[in-house]
Formats: sequence, C-alpha cells, structure tokens
Amino acid sequence: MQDIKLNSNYKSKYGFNVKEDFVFKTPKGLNEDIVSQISAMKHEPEWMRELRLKAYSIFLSKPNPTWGGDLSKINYDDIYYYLKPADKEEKSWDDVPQGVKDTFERLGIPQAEREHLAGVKAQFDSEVIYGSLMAELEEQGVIFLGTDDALKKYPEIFEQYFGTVIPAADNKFAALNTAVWSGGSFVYIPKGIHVKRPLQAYFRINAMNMGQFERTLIIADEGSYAHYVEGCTAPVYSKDSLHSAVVEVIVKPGARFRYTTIQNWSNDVYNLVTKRARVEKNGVMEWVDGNLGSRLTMKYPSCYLVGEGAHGEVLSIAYAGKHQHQDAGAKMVHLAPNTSSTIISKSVSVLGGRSSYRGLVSVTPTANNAKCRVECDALILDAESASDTYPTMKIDNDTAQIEHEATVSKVGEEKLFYLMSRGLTEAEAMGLVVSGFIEPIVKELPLEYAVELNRLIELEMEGSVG
Amino acid sequence: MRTILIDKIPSKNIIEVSSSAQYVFDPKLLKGQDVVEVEFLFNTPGVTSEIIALYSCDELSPVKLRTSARHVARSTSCNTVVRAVLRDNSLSDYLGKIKIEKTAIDTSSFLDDAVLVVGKGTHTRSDPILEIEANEVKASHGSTTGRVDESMLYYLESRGLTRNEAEGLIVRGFFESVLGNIKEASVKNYLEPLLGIGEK
Repeated sequence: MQDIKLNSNYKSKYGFNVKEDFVFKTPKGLNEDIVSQISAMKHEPEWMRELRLKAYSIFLSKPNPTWGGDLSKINYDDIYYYLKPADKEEKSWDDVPQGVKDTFERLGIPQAEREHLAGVKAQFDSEVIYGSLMAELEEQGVIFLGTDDALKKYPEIFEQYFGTVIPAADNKFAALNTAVWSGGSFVYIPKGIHVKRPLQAYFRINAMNMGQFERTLIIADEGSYAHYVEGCTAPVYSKDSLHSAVVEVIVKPGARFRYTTIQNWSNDVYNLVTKRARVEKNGVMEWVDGNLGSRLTMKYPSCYLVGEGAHGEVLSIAYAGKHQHQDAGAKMVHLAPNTSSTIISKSVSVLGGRSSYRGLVSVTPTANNAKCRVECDALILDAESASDTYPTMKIDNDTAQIEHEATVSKVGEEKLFYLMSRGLTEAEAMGLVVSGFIEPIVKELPLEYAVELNRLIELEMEGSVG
Repeated sequence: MRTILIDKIPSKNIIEVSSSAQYVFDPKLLKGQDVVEVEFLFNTPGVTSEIIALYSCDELSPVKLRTSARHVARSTSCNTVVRAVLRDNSLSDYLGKIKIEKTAIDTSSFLDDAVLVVGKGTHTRSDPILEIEANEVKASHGSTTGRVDESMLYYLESRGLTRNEAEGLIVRGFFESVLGNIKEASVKNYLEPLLGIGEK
C-alpha cells in the first residue's frame, strides 16, 4: 500500500512568496484615470481604451450580486488593479529573472518537462513573463501568446472576437475584467489542425492585495482540436485578494476544444470568474474544472450551443474546506436543433466548508430534440459542513429530453470500517474514499494534474478527521 | 398512514408534519391559484411523510407550485413525488426544496419530479433544490422532462390502438405508478377524473 501522506511538506513547498519587484504599479483603487493609464502603459489602440472606459462605467452601475456567496467584504478601493513586474516579455528561459525562476522551481515544474510542454505561458502577476512555443506548434500555424501581445500582433482577429462571447455588460465582474484586464492567453488553432500535446499555462498571484484580471480568448477554427490546461498555486496571504478572470472560447463548426482548470487559490482569494464558450455546428466544448482553495469561488463555465448538433460538457470538482465556500456549477444553453450536453459535478465539504452547485439548463423553442443530462453528487464529511444544490431547468421546447439527478451523502461507515479493518487509519481510509468519489473526473485530467489534485486533497484531508 | 388532501393553501403556507401522513395536492387547487406554496415542517422526531402532486396542465391553467420539506427534528423522512403532464401550450413551474437543518440528524429526504410532454409549445421550469447542513443524512432528487416515447406509441398503434388511445394509455401509466401508492381510495377516485384518466 502506497503511503497516502505523500505530500505532507506541501505547505512549506508551496506556501511562500517571493519578494515583490515591480517596474510599475498603479495606485490602489480604481478610477477613469487609472483605467486610461493601464491602457496607455500597454500602448493599446484607441478602441481598447474606449472599451475599457465603457466597461468601467458598467462596472460602477451594476450592484454586487446578492445571490451565491458573501461578497460584502470585498473592498474595491483597497486593490491594486495593475502591476507590471518586468519591462518586456522574456524570450528564452535564460533571460527570465532569477526570482521568477525560483517561483517555478518551487512550483515543481521540472526543467526537462518544460521542454516537452507544448508551450508555457506563466503568469507572474499581471504579465506573461515567460513564454516559449515549440517549433512544431509554430509550423502548424497555432498562435499561443499572452493576450496583451496578441492585441499588438493580431489586432484584426482580436477586434473581431474580443468581448463577443462575454460582453462587458454581462455581469459586474465581466465589466471589471474588461476595464482592467491584463495578461491571460490568446489561442488560435487554424482549420483542421489537431494539437497533440496540451497547451499549458500557469497562473500565480504574488503581490499582497493584488487583483488578477486575466483575459483569455480562444478560437478553435473549423475541424480543429486542442486541449488547454491552466493550473494555479497561489501563495498564502492574510489579506483578501480578488481574482476575476474572463475566458471566452469560440468553437467553430466541427471543432473540439477542451479547457482544463485546476485551481488552488489561497484561502483569502475571492475567485469570481466568467467562462463561456460559443459552440457552432457539430462543435464540441468540454470544460474540466477543479476548484480547491479560495475563500469564495463563484464560477459557472457555460456552453452556448448555437449550431446544430453542437455538444457541451462540464466536469467539475469542488472541494470546500475550512472557511471556504465553493459556489460552482455550469450552464448549458441550447439554441439550435439536435444539441446535447452533459454536466457532472462532484463536491466535497469538510471542516465547516460549504459547497454549492448552481446550474442552468435552458432549451429555447428553436432547439428541437435537445438532450441534457445533469448529475451532481455531494459528500459531506462532518457535521459542521454543508452542501447546496440549485439546478434550474428552463425548457421552452416540447421535444427536449432533460434529466437531472443529485445526491448528498456522507462517507459510509461500512466503507471506512472495511478499509480500517485492512489496517488503514481513519484519515487514510477517508482520503481513499474521497479520491474514489472524485475519480470519474480526475481520470479526465492530464497525468501530472491528476497526481497534483490527489496530493492536494490528501493534504486538505490531513487533520480533518480523528 | 393517513392520507390528507390539500385543497386549500394552509395558513402561513406551512403544514406541520406532527404525525406520519401522506399529503396529496388537489389538482384543482394547483390550477386555480397563481402560485401554490407550501412548506412541510418536520418538527417532530421520527415522523415519516409522503408529498404527492399530480397534475395535468393545459393552455388555460398553468401550474406554479413550490414545495419545501424542511427537516428540523431528528430521524424524520420524507418522499416528495411530482408528476405533471403537459398538453398544448401549457406551463409547469415547479420548485421543490429539501432543507435539512443542522439539528436534523438521521434524516432521509427524497424528491422525484417527472414531466411528461404530450402537447406542442410547452414550457417547463424545474428547480429541485437541496440545502443540507447536517451530514448524517440521506438526500437526493431527480428531475426529468421528456416527450412521450415515439417507440412506445408505435408499439401500441401496431396493436390496433389509435394514436389518441395510445397516448392516453401512456399518460395513464405515468400517473398510475404514483396513484397506486395513495392509501385512501376516495382520494384516488377523486383524482382520476381530474387527471383525465377516468374509467378504464
């Protein structure tokens, strides 16, 4: 039997912060001048500056949402909205500053592995510092850049798609992101291209009270395939920090795109993210979403199935520990005939944590023969923890086939007893049962993420029983 | 177990489940009111109850129903079963909540909601909700919306039934599985014609 406390040194390994070293930092808080300043710092075209300012006024006009988690503690005036850690994007690994290298060292990305990654865009605070693309991708015509860079290099594609899936007026946090966005990835997969290795990005928040507002725009052209992976490991801070990203994905006819996220924000981060994909004819969009850490996560990846035969899928895991609220879910909007979707959600609540599934399945009158299946399972590990399920189904078509199932349970005594009778401690037995519970989703992850997720869960489980 | 027909909205929209009972919504009440909202409060340890709502909607009588099974005392159990048939241009809007408070250990609560679409231009809103604060519990819900199965209709038609008769038989079977659980024959007999499935 393998020792399941593999990663007991996790905190000392990842719970750290490297000395901050910024070239430029806007003052705390936000006003029109700061928004313009961000745009000027980035040498952006005029339309982007105007869009930012418009989005800022939308942000001001919208109240905080009153549903979901408690957002009343966020002080928008106490946040730095833009930090620029280094002057230019580094070209090779050797040019990357030592402090940043140390960070990645501690994140545990082996050098050898880096060279095999399809391309690493590591977000150290607000700018992509290090990016390297394999020649193979370049040959295929794949564009994988920091979003700021993409705006400079491909302004036409950018203007055509930016904000079309998630307009600034969509919600308060999408407006905030549009006003102050910085960093993130831009991906373009040309027609018919299959990218074999996952495209990877690492995100970190490193400055005290640093809001991170990355903006990701992905276009999978006709018949293409790619898998994008992002993972987050944030250092532990005591002050509240806001992360509000926007991810837009456009899946063209016949294309297939998978977006995998494993997030482990520190326990003081508000993680308020808008992720949405527009899926055209016979396209397939898959969101794989793992939410650990953070004080409050509100995130509902969605698929707008606009083309006939489009398919959407969301697989999500939420793990709510001490003082944490994971309000996660998924949205499937069926707008065209013969569209189908699946949502599978697993959540674990422990040590007073609360996990909520909040979802929407909508079928419009034009979407004949739509099919949707939703499955939510929740595990509550102790008497202090809680779990909610709020799936909304709105079906305005008489040919739809919709199924929803949800269960909430605790870990069965008999399972624990069996495992303990085989010599495991209670904590180990509990860890195994939890790993088994989330396994259907973990097996969809790339190997290194599956390993990391299991380690994170083991770490979280320590001290939760007994 | 007693069977109680809910034919008017209870005071403060709350029914306290003080002894084990079966509650059946009167389809006339569901169709006659804008919104019918009832909370079933489980304040007495050890009680068991069943909540049944069966209705058939047509264009003129949309149904908006909100039920909540709120478990406060320990060792209570509840089974909520909702069956709706949607005819042309009808609307069914059902919100079914299971709320288990911290004090309600050893609770079992289930909800099963199925909508059978027979007509054209129908609208369904389903919100099955779970709010669980305790861990020594069993709770689940299932909700489905779907059209009458074409292959079933085809089979029945091939046996000489008209399309209307075949559809009627499927609707009957859909309600029958729940009607069969109603203990009180008079309540069952009262419901059948209201669901459009009178004499065999």
